[in-house]
Amino acid sequence: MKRRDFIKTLPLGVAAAAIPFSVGGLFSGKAFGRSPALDALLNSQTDTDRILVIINLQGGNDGLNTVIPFQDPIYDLKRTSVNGSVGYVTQAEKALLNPYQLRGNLALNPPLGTNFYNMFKDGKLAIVQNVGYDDPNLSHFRATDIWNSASDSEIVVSTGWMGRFLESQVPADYPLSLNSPDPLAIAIDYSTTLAFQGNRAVMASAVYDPSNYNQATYYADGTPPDTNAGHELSFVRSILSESDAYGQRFKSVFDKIGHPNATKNNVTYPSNNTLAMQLQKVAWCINAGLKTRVYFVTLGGFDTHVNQNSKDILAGQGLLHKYLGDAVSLFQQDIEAMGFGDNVIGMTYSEFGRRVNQNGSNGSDHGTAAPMFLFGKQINGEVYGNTPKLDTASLDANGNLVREFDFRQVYAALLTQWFGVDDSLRKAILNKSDFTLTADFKNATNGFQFPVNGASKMQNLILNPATGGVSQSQSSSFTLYQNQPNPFIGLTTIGFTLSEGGRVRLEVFDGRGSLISTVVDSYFGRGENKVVFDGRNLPSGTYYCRLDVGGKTQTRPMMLVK
Amino acid sequence: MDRRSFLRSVGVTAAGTAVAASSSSAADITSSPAAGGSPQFSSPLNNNRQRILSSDLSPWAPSSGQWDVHTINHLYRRAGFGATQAEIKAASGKTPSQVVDALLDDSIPMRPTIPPLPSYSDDKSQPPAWLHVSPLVYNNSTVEMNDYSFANMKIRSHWAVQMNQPEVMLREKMTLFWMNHFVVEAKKVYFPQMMYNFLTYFRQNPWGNFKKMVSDVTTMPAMLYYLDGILNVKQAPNENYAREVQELFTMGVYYKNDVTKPNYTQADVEAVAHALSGWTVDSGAPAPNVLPAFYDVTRHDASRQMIYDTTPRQYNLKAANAPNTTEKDLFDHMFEMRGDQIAWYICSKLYQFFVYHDISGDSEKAIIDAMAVTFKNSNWEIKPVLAELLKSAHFFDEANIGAGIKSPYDHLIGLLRTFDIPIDELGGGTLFNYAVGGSQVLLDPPNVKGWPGHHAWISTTTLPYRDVIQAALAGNTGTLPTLGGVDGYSVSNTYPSILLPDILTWAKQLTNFSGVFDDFVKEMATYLCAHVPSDTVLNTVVKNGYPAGYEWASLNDAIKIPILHILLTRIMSLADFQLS
Repeated sequence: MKRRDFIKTLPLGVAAAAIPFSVGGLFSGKAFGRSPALDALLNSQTDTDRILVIINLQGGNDGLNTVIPFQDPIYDLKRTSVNGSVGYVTQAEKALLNPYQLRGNLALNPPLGTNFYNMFKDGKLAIVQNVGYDDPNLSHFRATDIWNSASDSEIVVSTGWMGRFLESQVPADYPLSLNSPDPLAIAIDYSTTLAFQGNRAVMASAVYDPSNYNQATYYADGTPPDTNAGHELSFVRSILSESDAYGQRFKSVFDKIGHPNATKNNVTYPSNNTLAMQLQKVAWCINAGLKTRVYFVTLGGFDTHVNQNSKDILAGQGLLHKYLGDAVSLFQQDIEAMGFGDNVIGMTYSEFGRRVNQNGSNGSDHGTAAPMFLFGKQINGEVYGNTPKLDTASLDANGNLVREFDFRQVYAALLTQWFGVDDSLRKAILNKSDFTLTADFKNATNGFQFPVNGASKMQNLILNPATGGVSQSQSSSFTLYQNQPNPFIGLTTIGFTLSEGGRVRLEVFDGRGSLISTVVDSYFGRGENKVVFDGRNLPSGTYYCRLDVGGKTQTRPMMLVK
Repeated sequence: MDRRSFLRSVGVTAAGTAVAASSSSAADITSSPAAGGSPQFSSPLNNNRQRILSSDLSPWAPSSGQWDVHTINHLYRRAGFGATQAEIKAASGKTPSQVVDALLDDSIPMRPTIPPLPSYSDDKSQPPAWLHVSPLVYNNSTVEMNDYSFANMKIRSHWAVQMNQPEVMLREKMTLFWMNHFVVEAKKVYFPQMMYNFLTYFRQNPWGNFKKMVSDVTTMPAMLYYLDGILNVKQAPNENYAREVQELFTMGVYYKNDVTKPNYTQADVEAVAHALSGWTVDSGAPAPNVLPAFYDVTRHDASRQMIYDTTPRQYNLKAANAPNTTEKDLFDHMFEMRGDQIAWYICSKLYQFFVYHDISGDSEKAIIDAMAVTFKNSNWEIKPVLAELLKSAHFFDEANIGAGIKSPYDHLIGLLRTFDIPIDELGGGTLFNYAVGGSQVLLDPPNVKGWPGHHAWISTTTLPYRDVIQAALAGNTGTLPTLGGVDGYSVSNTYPSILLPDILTWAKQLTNFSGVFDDFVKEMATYLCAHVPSDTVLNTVVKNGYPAGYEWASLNDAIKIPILHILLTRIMSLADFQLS
């Protein structure tokens, strides 16, 4: 779906209703049904009560100084320049790595290893080596978009992988009809990322601190005009209504457990560690019982063209690694002490690693493949994949590492094993017809396959995988829009779109559920359609408009005012 | 009935909700009887029809009544940060073209260009010492770092004061544009004198020759520091600037965002890095000319490079102190070989900044193509492009009025301009801390791409924060929320009296202040909002609990003031107010 199409559908789907969606309880009754997948997602049973914390390391973390192939003589050669070395090349430097040796030729960078080594030893940390994609892009922004959208390098996809996943689990008119008290995903930040962009709406809310949230008030108003300005108005209204609804929920949840503060945590998060401060808020949310399934946090500053200082815990990459190690390890302890150890896993990613050859500025330039970390009690702790091959013949034309894993293999493993996504939905999320992933896997014929070679255990990334069966909800094939105008006095227009042609029945019920009118019952082609409903002979009140396409239905309330 | 539950019921009681001026006109659809009968459809209908705009770049000729508060405010919001009632009245006596020409007038003197001294530091007497002290004097001790961070704060405060000056509004708007195009970050550049000189360059050249700008910026000390030009030497090339000057500053990764049309290769990036090697900063130069760009021939890679074509040449910059071995100026070559790409990319950014951020539609594409023609024909002068765009029928198309989302500074300076609140640097500093709460840190954009803007300005974190600032300004003070800072800068949670407007004086300038209450409320909303809220919301939400129309005129001023506070707070809390 093109971006314009998304914007076009947004106001109708999200913000056109004349009621704030916080009264979505209109839809909570059984009469109109709800996707079982949605129920599973929202009314979490043990099996589906699973939370993913995504940690974005912004700027391009130098993988070769993170999980270090320190006994490879080529490493010494390439990590040395006339102006010094960013690596561990002397015997004295290599000795520093001994306590953090993972296997054979690999060790964790000490500022990180101080905590990550113990997590690894306890089996709570997995390292996936050499993660990237084909035809890597060296622009921060394009590369970040590729990771967030889970697209091929040469294809621009305007939605995010998490956005597509979460959107597949909600009704088409989310968030208007969703009886979810909580955001499906929260970015502990001032804004969200492309990773959460769905086709119809953004599936995450940006909340700097849910425990201390100052909500806005949503004032309903008429349908915005179908102009550029009208579409922007709809966007702002949708954020206002989110803020209004979630703000009330946050308040009630956090009031119940008392205002969270340091004493509510089982560990002390250092206040000078920005990642730790974000993860502390995530821990509060989980402890407070929010049904949010995905949290997104960031640590920036990894663009180390100069003064990389990997070895220094006070500056550069070394300091960032210390932040990362401290924050994740404290969060893990906290979550386990809260009793959620089996419910939460985390994942780190960065848009790229860095050039194998360091530059002359005691730094390193943009590169390609790099390791990802996964952590949690439910993670099958191991090093997945091979030690990077640094010899020139093994590198690409720009002197960069060639990927071993495609990052979407990791996404696929998480979707399948952690969230229980079934094969067809996983392919829809990661392998849509508008971008082909099979090309990435030369011997694969059917979406993602895990390489047999060296990493077969990627299939067992999660110790107790989800039972599965999470599939596409009903929402993908058609959308019923809010009638315009609404409230209406006599005539009102009801619009809907079909992703493919088919038989459509549009019915209107009154507040007691009695059928008032079958407005249409016939064949419609794909695309947008509109019909007019005449309520001039009906009394004032709330009516429900139900669209039935092939046995699947969507329903919206309409207000008739005389 | 409390406010919240009242609002919930609006949808039901609002019988008068305006029918949207949408594409669903009766002509398209045959009415369907409530029961029985067979409805007819014209399907599929083009829901996008109004977004195909017929307006083009020809000068807008408003018909009678069109050049009003709504459209004049539009121009002043986009080409500046808003306007006072007096300025709007003055503009109504001129043509749109005359007003735009006045905004683009080069003869308007700049405001004082050197910020006053950091006042806390006794030993820095006239002239502004921090601007002319070699950074070598400082060595990262806490005191000196505090000096520098204080100086950067002064630059930010001073910047906000400039934005609030009506006569230089477009100059300042363009300065903000360029600072978010040729991005540098204070947290990396560190030296305030470099940041200040960089900022001042754009204030002096807001709509100059773009090709010259690119060349100038390439060797400006702030940029040499920020993208590691100072480290780009023959012996160890650093490609940081070489990549961004192509990806972000001139042509973009792809021509017209088409991924099948890449504008340059990794080999071009490396070749440009070689061509620019040797440009560094002379940190030993004596005052007052400290930290000038400096060409070190011993660090320059004079080998021939192939850039965009297969002819190897020695490239460098045509500068007074460049090597005489240079065979071609790098930017002469770049603008020659990639002229179409550069013209499209820069015009697309100007379009997104001044008109609408989504350029995927045919209308937007056609306008950008036309702007690119003007840009190339003008030999890379920005001013003709701006003049044509801001005077155009497309710019004033009703579909584009309100199609922007206010940035934190659009929002904050807009409040000051609307209510005619002058600020000094103390106020400018306070605004900086509010803008941090909106996630815009002047001099420190999030990364080399700058602030993404548009929808990224509005989130469930930043929007409620704006709400509180607005309420505080309207005199309806509450407690400002405590938010965490950004990049080490704090979010202010107090609202000083110096930023309070004289609400009564402002209101009394409105035509309907002593007239019909409904008309008065509507007039306020028209002044404040780029998209005017519906009568329904004005009647039920904004005026909720306030006097019936006939009472308003009879109230004395003392009683009107607290009512004005509430009315303004409510109008500004509508989504419509966040649009530009």
